Amino acid sequence: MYVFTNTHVLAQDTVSLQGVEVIAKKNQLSQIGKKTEQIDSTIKEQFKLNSIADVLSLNTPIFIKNYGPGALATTAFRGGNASQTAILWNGFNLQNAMLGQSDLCLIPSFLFENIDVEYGGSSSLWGSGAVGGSIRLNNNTLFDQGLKASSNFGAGSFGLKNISTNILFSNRRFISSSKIYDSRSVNNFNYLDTTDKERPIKQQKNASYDFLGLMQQLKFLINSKNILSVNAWLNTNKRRLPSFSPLAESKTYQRDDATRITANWSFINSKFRSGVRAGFFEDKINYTDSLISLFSKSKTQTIIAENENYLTWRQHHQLNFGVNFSSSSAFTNNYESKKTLSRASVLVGNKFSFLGGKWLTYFSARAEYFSVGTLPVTGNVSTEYNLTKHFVLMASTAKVYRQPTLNELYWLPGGNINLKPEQGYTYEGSINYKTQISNVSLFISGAAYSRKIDNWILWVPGVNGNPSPINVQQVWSRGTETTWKIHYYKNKFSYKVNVVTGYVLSTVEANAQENDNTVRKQLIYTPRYTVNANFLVGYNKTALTFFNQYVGYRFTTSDNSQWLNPYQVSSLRLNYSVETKLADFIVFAACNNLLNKNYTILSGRPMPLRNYEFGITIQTKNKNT
Amino acid sequence: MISCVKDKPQDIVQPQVQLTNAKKVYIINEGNFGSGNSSVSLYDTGNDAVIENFYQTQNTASPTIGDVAQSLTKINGKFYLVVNNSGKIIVCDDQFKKLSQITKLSSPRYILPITNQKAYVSDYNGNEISIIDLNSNTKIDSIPCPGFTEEMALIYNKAFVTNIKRNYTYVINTINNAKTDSIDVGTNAGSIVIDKNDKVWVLSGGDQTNNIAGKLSRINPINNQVEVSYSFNVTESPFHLCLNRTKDTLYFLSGGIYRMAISDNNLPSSAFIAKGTKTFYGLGVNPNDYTIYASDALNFNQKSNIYIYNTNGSEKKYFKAGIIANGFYFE
Repeated sequence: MYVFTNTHVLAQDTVSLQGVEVIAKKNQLSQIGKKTEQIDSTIKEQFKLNSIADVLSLNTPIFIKNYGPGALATTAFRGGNASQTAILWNGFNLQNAMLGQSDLCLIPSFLFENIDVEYGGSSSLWGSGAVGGSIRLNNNTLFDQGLKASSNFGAGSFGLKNISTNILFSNRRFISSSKIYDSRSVNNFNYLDTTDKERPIKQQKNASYDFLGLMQQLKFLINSKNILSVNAWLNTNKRRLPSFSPLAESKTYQRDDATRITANWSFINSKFRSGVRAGFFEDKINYTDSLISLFSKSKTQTIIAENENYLTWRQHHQLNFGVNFSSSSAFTNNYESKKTLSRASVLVGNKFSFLGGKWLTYFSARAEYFSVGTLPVTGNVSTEYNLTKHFVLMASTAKVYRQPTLNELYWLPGGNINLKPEQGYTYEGSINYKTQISNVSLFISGAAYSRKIDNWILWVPGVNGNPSPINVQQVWSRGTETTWKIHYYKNKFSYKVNVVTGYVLSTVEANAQENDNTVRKQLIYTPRYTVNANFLVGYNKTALTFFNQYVGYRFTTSDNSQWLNPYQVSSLRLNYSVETKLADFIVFAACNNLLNKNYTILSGRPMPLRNYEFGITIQTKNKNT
Repeated sequence: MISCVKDKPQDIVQPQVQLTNAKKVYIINEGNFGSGNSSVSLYDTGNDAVIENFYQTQNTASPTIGDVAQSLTKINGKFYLVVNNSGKIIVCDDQFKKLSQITKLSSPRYILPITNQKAYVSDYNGNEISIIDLNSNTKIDSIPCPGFTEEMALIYNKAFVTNIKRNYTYVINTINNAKTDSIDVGTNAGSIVIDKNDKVWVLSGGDQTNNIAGKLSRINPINNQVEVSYSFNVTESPFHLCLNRTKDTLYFLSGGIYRMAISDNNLPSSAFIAKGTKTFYGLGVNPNDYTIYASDALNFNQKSNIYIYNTNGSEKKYFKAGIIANGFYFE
């Protein structure tokens, strides 16, 4: 029930402006013809003190290469590597320009109102790196919500402590959202070493961490046609890195600091939308290992400016066009001097709808200037057809690429200025079925894809044994994904079963090295089979979820001569709500690795045995309730 | 397009191998850093048989070597396998069955026997040379030695210790274990040999980052003076200096395989065996038959290729060893 019923019309007007910023339009276009999934809000609530690495690992077919709690976590998405997944924050790619990857462990999930996974490549829309797929982290704060505040206090095994606060103020013209977080842990955990029969229980030490950050958003509705928003996300993350030999002393410290500031202006009218966006991104990594006198500092700065326009030029045609400029500079002792990569691109696309909107087709093309070498012209053609009200058929094809990173080009010794971008074509088709039978809703989705990437970059020993990156391989990734959701609601009860499966063959098709034994072999750390299942029982705002994850064999050598065994781990998460007149309280608890399984995701990096998290959220009453 | 593949990989069955009485070649395979998948392979020169995981087959009860096997040396009839990132040296009998292990080492690289009772161990980050009692196989003392010490050579009661991070090869008096001198040989020097004239040769790889060229230096071990020094192009980073059986011909890697006579007045202008698409990582010259053994580590993440070349440079044989084969021990 709206409190301000007398301003209903205006409220409607402002509400209708939710999500109309230009980036939302781009998200819509990008997912035409492709499997796209949003993380369920109830599930997301249960992971509010975890990083997106945990959310994605347990709820999507993306394999998260996680070195352990608090340690580096990157993606293997549809058989691609970490730099072949775009991590998009409100449409800006967060990948570190030196490394070509982001550490998902440093991205808390509670910062984002929506976490979407877009399967399949979209280089023409998102640029370099959107090869295997994209993870979209969106801030979607709403106008006219009044003042809301919530704080989370969490604790857990191994000295885990979490605090986060979210203060939202919004009226019909203005939004301010402030989020702060601090997550820290001593992180000395026990694990099982099966190779040591005398003392199998060992303790992982030297892995403590402290992640601290602030995200501030301001959004202004200037008038009914113009929205201005400014977002800032500052964070500083300190952690110790344990030795590879668990019992050995480690004096390795890493500090990752990031400053991310973006500004957006969107103009909207019924036929035309236009947006101007700019961003400044700075990543600093300070790595020290005093045992070997290694003190490494690096800094990258990226500036992005873009304009995008959406014009409905005929009743069923929407044209989009835009320009993008980005420039990344790196400062490190490991390069000869400061190095800069600049890119300028033009994008044009058109969306058609036929048969009263039942059939959508979109194509786009992007051409780029690159300051080092050339980048391919990319494009995509996508279509989706609502066969019946239950079935949607989708198909998409795209040219995708990843530009070489600053490290690959300039690292001394070994950097290779003659590297070409990794590039190839991706094809996919999918089908969605959804239905509602009385209290039961059913959603089933299946997707199949194939992607061949040429000029795949690998670091191999160079002239002096020092590794050097070369365009050495062709890799063919293909596979299927399915999603099964059965949700049953009755009165205040809800029961949900969600299952996602992934099957990935990602094999080397050609390799230029003599007597190489990698051809037709699966890429390392790319499990062929993953299954995530969860079962949720909810009552009102209280929910108990059981998660079960199966990850198949992961090869650890590229000739597939060595591998890690599959693992299956389970966990339980509970949210229990108590509502009072003054505030709402949500008590939450989690038990990870419920069955106390001994497993490793990556070779030599133990994972903890059974462990716990618990805490409480206190939030102010919603003004509309 | 997407046919289901059985997930469980086929277990790799070690073929039954009949060994001959001929000389054996042991191949040291580092494995991947942090993965604990080091191995030692055995090659029988009598029948070309290869046992890829020889240590494992001889030590079935405890088959794991550890992380990054760096070097293998035979002292007093026992094998000393230096395991760098596990901070230990595994001592085996002549059949490669484990007898004991030497611990309390930081990150050991090479072991050099000084007497029947005493050996030195170089170290990546310990800033010291460890002294080992070969009777008890324990560390009994150390000699402070800054930097990343690597291969060592013994002559005239002097141990010459190469150093990757310093520009100097240190000289240690092996009687009183005191550091007595340091010789400027350039940076990134890791390999050292003593030729038939009792001259010490040290190869430094240089430092491309700082535009410093590598050098090949000949040292007179009597007065510790550099007699001759040859400079490489700054774009080259030579490594892995070896000698042939008669100790008159030097071999090293710099992309391809290079060789020069100790009497030559210039560095070789071209490779003796071209690199091609190979990535040579380990090198050795069999003292029994002059053949040249080179390992190709490929992409660092699969079984290495071992190439055996005749002295005229023609390929004699190739076989697979473990991951990142870095060197050879010839019986």
